[in-house]
Amino acid sequence: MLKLIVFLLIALRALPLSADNTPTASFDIVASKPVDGWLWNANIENLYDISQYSTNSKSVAGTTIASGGEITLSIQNFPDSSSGDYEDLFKVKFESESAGKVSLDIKMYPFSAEDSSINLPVQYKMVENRSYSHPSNYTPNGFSVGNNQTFYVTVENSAGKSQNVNVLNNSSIVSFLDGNSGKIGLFSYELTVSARFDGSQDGDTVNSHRWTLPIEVTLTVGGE
Amino acid sequence: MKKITLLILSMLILLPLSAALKAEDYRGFRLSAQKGSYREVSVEVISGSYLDEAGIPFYVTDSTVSYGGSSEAVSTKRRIATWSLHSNSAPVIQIHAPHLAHSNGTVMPYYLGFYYRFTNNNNEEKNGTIVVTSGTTYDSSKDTTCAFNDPNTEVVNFSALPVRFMLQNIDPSDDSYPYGTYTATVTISIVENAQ
Repeated sequence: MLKLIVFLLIALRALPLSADNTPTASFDIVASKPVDGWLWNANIENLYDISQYSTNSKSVAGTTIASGGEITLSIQNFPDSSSGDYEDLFKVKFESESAGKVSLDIKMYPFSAEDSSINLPVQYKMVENRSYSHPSNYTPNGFSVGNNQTFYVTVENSAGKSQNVNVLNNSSIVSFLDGNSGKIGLFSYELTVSARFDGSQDGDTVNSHRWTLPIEVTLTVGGE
Repeated sequence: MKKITLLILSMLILLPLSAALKAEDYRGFRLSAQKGSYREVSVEVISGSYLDEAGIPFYVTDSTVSYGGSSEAVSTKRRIATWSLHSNSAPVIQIHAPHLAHSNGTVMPYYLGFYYRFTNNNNEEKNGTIVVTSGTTYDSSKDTTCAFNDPNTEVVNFSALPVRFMLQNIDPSDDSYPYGTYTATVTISIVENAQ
């Protein structure tokens, strides 16, 4: 009986080895196309006498690629609502291809006196231009193109206001790839931000303080 | 007598030095044998500096990655791995190579070249490259150019021979392929020889 048990144990031990009839080896190949092929030329162009300004370098998808810090500018000759003019401050530009989404958030504040708690209310004007080109005239769903789309934001207190511009449809991922032609399109975006005083300003008040105009620009690409 | 004793003692002192066994003086190797058929295949990927843990990495726009050209050209293109094959029963191999695929469904075709070299029953050296087109399953029994089908081939033994890679008719400058990661899992199997 013992011999039989030993024999069965040996036979069971040998079974998995002899049943391995299909030796197999596998490996993964991973290819990546750099994000540089998707979004480039992102920058914030200074259009005014901005003395303090910084931008972050371009990074990978899903992260903030550009943001501006606080700016300080001369406001003695800054236009107000009585003149009807706006002063251009800066321009946000980028180009994009492929699937993804892009959001641009601009947080605006009034002029604030460095040596006092007073503010000067500001009207911001943002003019957006979008263009799209594709080798096969393919037009993807989920986003629009057009020139001179304008947003206005008035900021009266130091809490600031945020204007989120979903330059692509932020609720869904837009693919610029035409499945039929296999070609991909190019999306160009430009937003010009300008400002003026909201109302007429007393010259004595303006001249008796140093003023700052904090503006935060955050351009985020990618993400699911 | 005293001199003879001293001489013998001196020789005995010297003897262990000259007769000492030093490891570096000896080389050996281990022989193993197996009765019956054996089949074994393995792949060793060549490590890169990026995404090692996920497989064999490359950038589509990397200048070291070749693209375009005929499938024959793959035998000189980028070396991405080595493979080893041991069989004593005229092996039939199948290689399944799906296209590289992006998460949005875009696929990227490529070629793989598996170089082989072995000596057949007539002591003739056989060598060549198995070219696999992605999106297909290669079967060596249907490849008339593969020396595995040579009637004098029974034992195939080689180790660490190159596996080469080439993208298929892709021009990265035309922006036809979106950015991101493309992956594929390649599987090599030695199947039961029907003969």
